[in-house]
Amino acid sequence: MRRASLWAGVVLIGFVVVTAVVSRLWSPFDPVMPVGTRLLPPGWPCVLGTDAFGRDVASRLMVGAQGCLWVGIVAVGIAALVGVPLGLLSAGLKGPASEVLLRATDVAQAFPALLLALLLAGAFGGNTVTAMIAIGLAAVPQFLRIARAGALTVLASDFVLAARACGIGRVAIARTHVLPNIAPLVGVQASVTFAMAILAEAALSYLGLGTQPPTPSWGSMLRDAQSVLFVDPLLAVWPGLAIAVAVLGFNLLGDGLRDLLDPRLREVA
Amino acid sequence: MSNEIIFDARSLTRTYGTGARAVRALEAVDLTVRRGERLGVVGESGSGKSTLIRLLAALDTPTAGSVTFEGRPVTGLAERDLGFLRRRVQIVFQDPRASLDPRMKVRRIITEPLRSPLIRAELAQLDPDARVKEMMEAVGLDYADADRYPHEFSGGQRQRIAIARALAPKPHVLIADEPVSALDVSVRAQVLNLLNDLVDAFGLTMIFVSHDLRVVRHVCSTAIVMQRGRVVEAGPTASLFSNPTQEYTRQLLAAVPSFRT
Amino acid sequence: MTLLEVRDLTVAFGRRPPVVRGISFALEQGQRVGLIGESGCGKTVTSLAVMGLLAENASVRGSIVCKGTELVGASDRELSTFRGDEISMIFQEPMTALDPTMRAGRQVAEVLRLHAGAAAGAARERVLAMLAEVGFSDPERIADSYPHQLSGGQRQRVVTAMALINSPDLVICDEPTTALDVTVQAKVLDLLDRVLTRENAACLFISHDLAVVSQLASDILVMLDGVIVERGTASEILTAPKHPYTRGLVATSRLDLVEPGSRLPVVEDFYVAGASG
Repeated sequence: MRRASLWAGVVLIGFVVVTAVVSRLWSPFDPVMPVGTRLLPPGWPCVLGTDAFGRDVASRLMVGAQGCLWVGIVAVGIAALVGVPLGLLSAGLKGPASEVLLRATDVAQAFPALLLALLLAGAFGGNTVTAMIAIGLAAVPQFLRIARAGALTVLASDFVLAARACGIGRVAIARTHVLPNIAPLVGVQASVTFAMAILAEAALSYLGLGTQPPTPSWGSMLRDAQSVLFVDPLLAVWPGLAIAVAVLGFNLLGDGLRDLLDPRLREVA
Repeated sequence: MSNEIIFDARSLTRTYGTGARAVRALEAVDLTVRRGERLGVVGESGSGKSTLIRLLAALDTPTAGSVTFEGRPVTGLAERDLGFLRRRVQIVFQDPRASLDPRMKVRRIITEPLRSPLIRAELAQLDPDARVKEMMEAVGLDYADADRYPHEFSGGQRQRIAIARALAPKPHVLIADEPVSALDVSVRAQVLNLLNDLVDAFGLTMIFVSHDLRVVRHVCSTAIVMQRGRVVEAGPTASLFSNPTQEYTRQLLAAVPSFRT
Repeated sequence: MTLLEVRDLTVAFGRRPPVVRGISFALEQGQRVGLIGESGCGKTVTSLAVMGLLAENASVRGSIVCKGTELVGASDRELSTFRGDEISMIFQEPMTALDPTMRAGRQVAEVLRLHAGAAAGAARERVLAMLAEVGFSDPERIADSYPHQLSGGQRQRVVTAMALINSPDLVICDEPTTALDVTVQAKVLDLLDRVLTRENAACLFISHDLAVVSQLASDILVMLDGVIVERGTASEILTAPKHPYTRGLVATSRLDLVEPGSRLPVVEDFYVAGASG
């Protein structure tokens, strides 16, 4: 089937989104308050059982989807809003200024999100917001590079030359020609970065630098599950599976979008 | 062709890079273009013909030499002072698949020159929609297609769109850079006839760049032959092609494939 | 002897209407046939069908017989023994026809060794000889160069060397000189003429430039919308075409017969496309 990646990605992400939306209105139980006996196996009424504190796993999983999506949206938003303009700037600049910007990007890219998160946590206390900002900033170089590469291609085209021949300024060219033409590239990058952001948030929460308890987060659920791993291994499986589904979904979407773009770019003779 | 000089280029030189790796794209080229002239610029790759027209259209700055347009100096001016040139000199590029923004509707493409602040300052107020209709009809396109995208048109039609865009700001000079080389042979004559008619109808001066001598011979009244950044020979096309004085021109003419029957 | 016989060839991609619609033609040993038509008429698809180089989703019906072997439906392995050996192809774009990571000499040698099984040392000699044949005065330097170090004309000559080194019986040229400067084009056409004559190789020459075709081809096939609308000797086609489309194509190409500055004839003056079949 053509576009299998794309549709599979959409379905998986749809699943996560619907879960998050539904959980805003309703969940089987309160995700934060203990509900019954601790470490119950899956059954009824707790479909996926309870955790070490007696909280309903299913409800926590559902509400955790919200956090997962928020982190992705904010992190990708920050990365795109900072990275794309810088990328355009870098493409438009000539000579030493462009070089300086690129080297600075190299340095920034070498800086792991983890370290940034630690720094922010140290300064402001670790929570979901600091995690989102750290992940977003760490992803800026990716967006910068893709925007720069796309912009360079567009700027070399004849239709930009035609616009310059009319005396249309660089800013106007960036706005009317470059942005619409790099939008697909940036979209693909956004999808891939979203997946990375979810993983990063899970890791940070696992380390205690992200979402703080008792707010449910798939990463912190993993950490909680660690201490009772040999007693109730399933507790680690559910959030792990949820993370995998979300990440897979966004990666497939990114792949599907990339495939969608490629044939269009190639002219059929 | 009147005697009024539209373009006067003196000693135009353009060198890329420095030192041992310097590439001399253009070397001390002198050129005069008169109003109403149809000048052909003939050359193979590396001849400097593309560099020459970029310098004339102020899309690039010369390393040495000067360009004057309608008596006003162009070289050394800042972009914001070039409005007088931008409005009066327009270019039709070679590849219609690359010269039209694939994400813009035809309507917006054709009116783009009219959105340039530099050109607006030089032009009396024009109603963009009316202008689109006028231009599309002038190039033989259906106004009903104004809201389509370039990929919905054939190569020949896209080139017509490019011509419509070039004519939108009422230019005096049309620079055509290999306008039919990327087109299928069955549509070249249509576009050449169109250019001919439009140049006549609007009293334009045309600079026609081509590597194809057969086309230049048909379209242009005068021509220059370029090789490796220099002008090798210049003159009326009729005599240039029947009695070339320079060896390179002779070689070019000899290489043109003739109909062997 | 009939070298290539194409019968009722029909090619379609996916579920779209066929691009080549039941064409038939034949090539004798050493015969040079030009295939002309506008873009989209199916001439390139026809040549790719003969080479067996069509995309996966192409459905090919009909018959292509080369030296007694049916090529339609043949396995890729069978076709590979033909390609580069009995039939070779020269494409339009010299920039992309060569592998940028391999030296030119090695690419020519690769074709030779694949089919002739020559050892590296002997292959080198043949490669240098072939490069000299195609007009290089310094074959050693060319053989040791990477494609990006060569000009467009030089690359096309290397590609020609690759196409001819196994002395194929049929060379298919798809717009081989369109991307070249006119002086280089003249040299490459001259080269093709010489080598084809010496090897007595047949040639299927595809081009939209009628003058170029007339330089090389003795016979011409005219394609329109996937069918052959006219065929004849080059002389017949160019001086006395019969089909309205051919007349239009010839009229619009013969700039040399039109008064400079006057209106050029267009194909539509002679032939207007009716409803497509």
